[in-house]
Amino acid sequence: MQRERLSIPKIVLYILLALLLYVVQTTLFGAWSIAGYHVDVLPALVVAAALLDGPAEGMIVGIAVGLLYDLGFIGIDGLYPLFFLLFGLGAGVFSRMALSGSYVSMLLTTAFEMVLLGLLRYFAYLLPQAGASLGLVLRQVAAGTLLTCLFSFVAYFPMRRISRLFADR
Amino acid sequence: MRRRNRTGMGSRFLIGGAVVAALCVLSALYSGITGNPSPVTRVVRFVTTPVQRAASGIGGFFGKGLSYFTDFDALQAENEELRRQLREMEQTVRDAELALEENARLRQQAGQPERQRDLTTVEAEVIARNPGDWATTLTLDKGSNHGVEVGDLVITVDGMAGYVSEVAGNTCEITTVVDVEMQCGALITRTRETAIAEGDYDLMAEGNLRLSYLTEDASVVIGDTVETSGRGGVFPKGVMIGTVENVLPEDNGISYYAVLRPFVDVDTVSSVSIVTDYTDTTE
Repeated sequence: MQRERLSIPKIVLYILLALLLYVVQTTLFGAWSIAGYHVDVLPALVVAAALLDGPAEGMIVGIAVGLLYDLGFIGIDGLYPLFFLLFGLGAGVFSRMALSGSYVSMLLTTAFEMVLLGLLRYFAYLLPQAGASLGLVLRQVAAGTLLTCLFSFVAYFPMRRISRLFADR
Repeated sequence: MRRRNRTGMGSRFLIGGAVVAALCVLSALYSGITGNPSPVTRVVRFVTTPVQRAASGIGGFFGKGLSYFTDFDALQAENEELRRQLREMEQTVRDAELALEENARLRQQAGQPERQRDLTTVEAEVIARNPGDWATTLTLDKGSNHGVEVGDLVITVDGMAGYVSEVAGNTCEITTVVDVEMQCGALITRTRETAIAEGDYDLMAEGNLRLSYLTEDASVVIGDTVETSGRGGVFPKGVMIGTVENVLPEDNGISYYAVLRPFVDVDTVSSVSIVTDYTDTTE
């Protein structure tokens, strides 16, 4: 399924999907939460692109998702694109050596991504700036990861459809 | 034929990735030093904002239609309760008007300037919220083209919702009253003691904020209301922030802090007013 050549129309569709999910997540479902936690499926897009298509697509979708994250938060721009770029690249490289593009692989990789992002946020910002307690942060990371994995099908199946569409050409 | 390594990436691709990573670092340095969003973020915002506006409008339209059926009984009960409260308040308002007239007359006799408090506001709608649970920021549909500037206070009829942290031409982002970056001078309404209302990550998860730098002999109690102090001239005075839910000792054991429940529910607020200018000669 992973191809060597970069398909520009496929990348454009991936980015449009990321934009659509971001808009839906921040507007229509912005005030919606489950047990006080909000659903965030954008990280699953990066993993799906990396596992289905490889490191190049993982990196590009990672940059797009990171830019959307910069929009949604106030603070220093550029760090989210850097994180998701590197994770998309790493997940794509690792998927070529060890993982498949299956849904289970995507869930595991997404969970790892969410935990890593949460811990980075805690040690780089929440602990020195806001003095947040580790217990609360771990609870939020766990709940956020669970919700993202539960709803990751919203990202995975459209991505897989797009990937297969261009793989058949 | 170009050789590829086991990972399937050409050298040009890796160089491109390294260039983008370097741009991300430069972007972070730019926004960190200047405090402004990077040029790339501004371009992306230019693309996403119209889509967010449209989606927010559609969601609001269907939400209102649905609530017409689901919330009717609750709205009716709330209406009756509000009418009862209004009748009780009318006498209080009449007494307050008499007191204000007397105050103005006495100030004139004493040669004091007339009390004047006037807020210039711009009405705005919430068109987006931040993804995830790591912050509470809102995106509004007004920006610098409407006279909005960084630092402008954002309020509702209930009280303080937050303040403007980033401004674009037609949108702005606000730091809400419970966000960890929130900080403003506060005044306990009953005792007139000053303190600092600020966000706290642990309390943000509960929808609360803290009132810090209370002295050892502070007489704040549960139920006290807290308002903006107006100190420093950043925000107008007298905008309600929240009520005290608990008073707890700080880690140092010397001073105290209070847990505040804000008057404005930032999770559900949809319409706000941005204070673009104010005059306040009440001191």
